[in-house]
Amino acid sequence: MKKTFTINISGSIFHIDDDAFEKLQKYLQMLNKHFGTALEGQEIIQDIEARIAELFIEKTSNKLEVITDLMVDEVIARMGKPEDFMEPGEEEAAEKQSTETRYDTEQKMRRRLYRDGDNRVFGGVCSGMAAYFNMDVVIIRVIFFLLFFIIGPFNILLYFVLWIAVPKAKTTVQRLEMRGKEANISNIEKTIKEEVNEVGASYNKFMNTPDGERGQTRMERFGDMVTSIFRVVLRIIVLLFGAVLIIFGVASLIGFVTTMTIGHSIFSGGLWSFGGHSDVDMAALLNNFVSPGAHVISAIAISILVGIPILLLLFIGTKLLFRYKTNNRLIGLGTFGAWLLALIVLIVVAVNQVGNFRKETSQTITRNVDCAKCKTIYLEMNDDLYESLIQNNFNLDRMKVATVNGNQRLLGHPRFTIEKSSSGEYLLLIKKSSRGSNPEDAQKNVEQIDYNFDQKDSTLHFDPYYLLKDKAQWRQQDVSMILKVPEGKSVYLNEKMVSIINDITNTENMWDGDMVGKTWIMTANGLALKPAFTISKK
Amino acid sequence: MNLDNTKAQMRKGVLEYCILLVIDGKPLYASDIIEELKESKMIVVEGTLYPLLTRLKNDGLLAYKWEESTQGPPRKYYETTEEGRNFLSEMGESWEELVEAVRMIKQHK
Repeated sequence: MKKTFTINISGSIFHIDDDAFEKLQKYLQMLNKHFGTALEGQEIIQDIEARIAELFIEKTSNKLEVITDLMVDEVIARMGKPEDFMEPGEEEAAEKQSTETRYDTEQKMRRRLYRDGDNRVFGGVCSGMAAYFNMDVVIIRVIFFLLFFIIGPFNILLYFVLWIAVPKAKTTVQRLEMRGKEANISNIEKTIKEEVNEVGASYNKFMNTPDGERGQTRMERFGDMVTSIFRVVLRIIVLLFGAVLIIFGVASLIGFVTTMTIGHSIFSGGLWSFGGHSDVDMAALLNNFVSPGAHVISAIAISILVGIPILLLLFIGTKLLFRYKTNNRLIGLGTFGAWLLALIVLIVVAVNQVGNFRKETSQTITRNVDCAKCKTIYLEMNDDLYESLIQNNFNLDRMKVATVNGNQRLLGHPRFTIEKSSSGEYLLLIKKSSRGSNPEDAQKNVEQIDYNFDQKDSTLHFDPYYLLKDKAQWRQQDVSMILKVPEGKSVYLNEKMVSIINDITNTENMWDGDMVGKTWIMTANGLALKPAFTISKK
Repeated sequence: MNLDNTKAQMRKGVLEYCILLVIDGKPLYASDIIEELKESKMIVVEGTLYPLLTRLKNDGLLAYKWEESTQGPPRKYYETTEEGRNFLSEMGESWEELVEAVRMIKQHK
């Protein structure tokens, strides 16, 4: 008894024996190869097939009669064996080609690594690899054993990793792929036949060795148990990691939000520690640097810039913990896009702000120090009224931020130096400078600078700070003072002056810090230390 | 081996001429053509015929018509074209020349 296939040739249906089918298929494939895939070749093949169909119709007296192997032989003889219509040169080339393509298709067939569940000791890892590499399974097992001498007990770990990672070949198609055989009908059929035989054989085996069977299954079960434990442990680790991320993310988020709103971050050391200081007053930062119009945008942009990474952490954490499905691509692209946008906005704002610093202008006031009879001018500092009000988290080029009466004011140290006066009088020059977007703006900013000092007899009292008027913003303001001392006259520096003196040239080459608490006399060469007492020439 | 080669080459050249000769005059289909050739002792298998017919058709020397058949798929009936007939007469002259030439060579031996 044979199987039949139902085929159609040139539009007519035929029933054909399985071996006749194979022969016919091979013949047609050879024709196809010979005539090629060009239009002309295809036309020829169609004509030939039509003729073959005609012949088969003649041979099968009724529709239910099958085309047999013999009939196919006759038709092939009639149509001509491929050798008959090929040139001798062509013939050899075709032979080579057909063997080549056979080899090709076998190689091209996807070979995949599966675990062989039918031939296993533990998990079928070695059997699967043997099938993949077309080697004897014993060799693979020996290699595995030898690995122990190379990587020690890790060979077992490797085995378990493979057990988890490599899937078991469950379906017939998978089994074929494991062995690298093409998954077509005949192969599948062959495989099923083999399996049926094996079942029969193993049943007999079972009947003969009941103990052996039990021992084997025990080992298999043990292996399964170990891997499932391993899988559970892995899962727990993943869950823990997810939980940690969530906690961290939430803390950072709270810290960030509070920073933006009330100016103090509750958690220090979260994802929002700003260069060592855990308190950053974001509002103050914006107020003093960025012109009012851009406040809102910058605030939003910064929130997005920092917020998105924090949210991302939270997202990953919850996803690991709760395992819900998300459209990762959309989320990824979307958040990255928003983040990038925020970055661009910030950059634009920053560049914009630079425009506010374009022009610098200064204003110098010259004051006569009224002290015709003085020989020494005493320099002292007024009390520091703002020390306690200063926020310490700010340190920018001699500028500080203080909270005065609920408002924030910028203040800074003026700079003080001493030079020789050419007019024979004590003179005090006060230079206030600032930047702005244009000269007029710069000038306005200069006028916002407030600095005071006063004179009582021969003592000048200086304020330790200059202040910017309310709501003035930082525009690189500066106040520098020069005291011109005529030759022969002296000046005494109080200790507290150290906070504003700035590199006063002197003949002793003494540091500013050492100059205070001493009296200096202006000589032809510059400031010199005045001796404690003078020998007066009488 | 070379003898077969040469024989095959000779046949190939002549076959086209024979086909055109057979078809000229009445429309025939592949099987008919084979029969006619067989009667004249020119044995050829169908597999050789179809490519030749298609080539001649693509060169414009033959044209075909479809005819329905009770015995299966529709059939192509081939006929010579105007060009084909011109080709045929030229080939005829060439053939005569060849035959004459060979005869003369044989005679001179």
